[in-house]
Amino acid sequence: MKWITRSHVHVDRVACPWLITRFIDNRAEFLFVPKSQVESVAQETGAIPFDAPGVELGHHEGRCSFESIILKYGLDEPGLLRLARIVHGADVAEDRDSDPVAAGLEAIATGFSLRYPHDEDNLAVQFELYDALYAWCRLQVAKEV
Amino acid sequence: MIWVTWENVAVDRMACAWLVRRLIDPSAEFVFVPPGHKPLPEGAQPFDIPGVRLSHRRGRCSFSTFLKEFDLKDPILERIARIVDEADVVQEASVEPAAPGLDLICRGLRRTSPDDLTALERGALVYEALYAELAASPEV
Repeated sequence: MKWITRSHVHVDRVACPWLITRFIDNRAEFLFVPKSQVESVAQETGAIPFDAPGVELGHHEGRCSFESIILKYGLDEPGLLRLARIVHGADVAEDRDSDPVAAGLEAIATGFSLRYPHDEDNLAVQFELYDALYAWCRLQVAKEV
Repeated sequence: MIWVTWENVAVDRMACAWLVRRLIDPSAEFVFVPPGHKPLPEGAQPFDIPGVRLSHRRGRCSFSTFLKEFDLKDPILERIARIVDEADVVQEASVEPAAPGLDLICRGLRRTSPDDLTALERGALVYEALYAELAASPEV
């Protein structure tokens, strides 16, 4: 299936493709287009839009798009919910202090965007980072039980 | 040169190895021994092992010791040393907000990597990104 979002990804638009690929659609294909073209290209291609203004899988009621996707697809793995708190803090600037891990993720994501200006390259290299974060989150929630 | 450290690398050893490859010994080879293992391989340069020259010093991380020993004066590297200090060594105060995230991303990378060498390579990408972010930010 095709998925579409705004180009020049940062935190949420890297975390969402990781989430979609790992939990929803392991053959997902991602399109990155300028903000003004998300709606029209989505209609032409049938791609599912995310993290763009006015779409269902976007920011709603304080949720970032990563959290909206988790809600929409009924994902409830505790490690993933722990990761969602980190992504939220890293993505939503006014909630940056809501999770101690968020600031580091945001800083490193900024650095990856500087080093990998092409969204596809940035995504490929950062998936390893999200796999690592998720591994830590699963370990952490397992310890808390 | 061959560089040796304890296996199961984390935030400080990933930082040191990145620095070694980047500025000290581009063709460095890394080998790993179990914690406490002696003797260390002959001719190899040990780092981040208690008691060796390139290790923790005065409450600061091994990465910080590398900067001093190799006379590397770069404000961005010094800032990274302070972040690694907070991530790796217990500090009295928290002033580097990126430290907790860096720490557990590195721990996670070791868990998701098949071996220490792969973990070092993945960790190096994270430190390259951190360096780029700090270089672009006005308040290093």
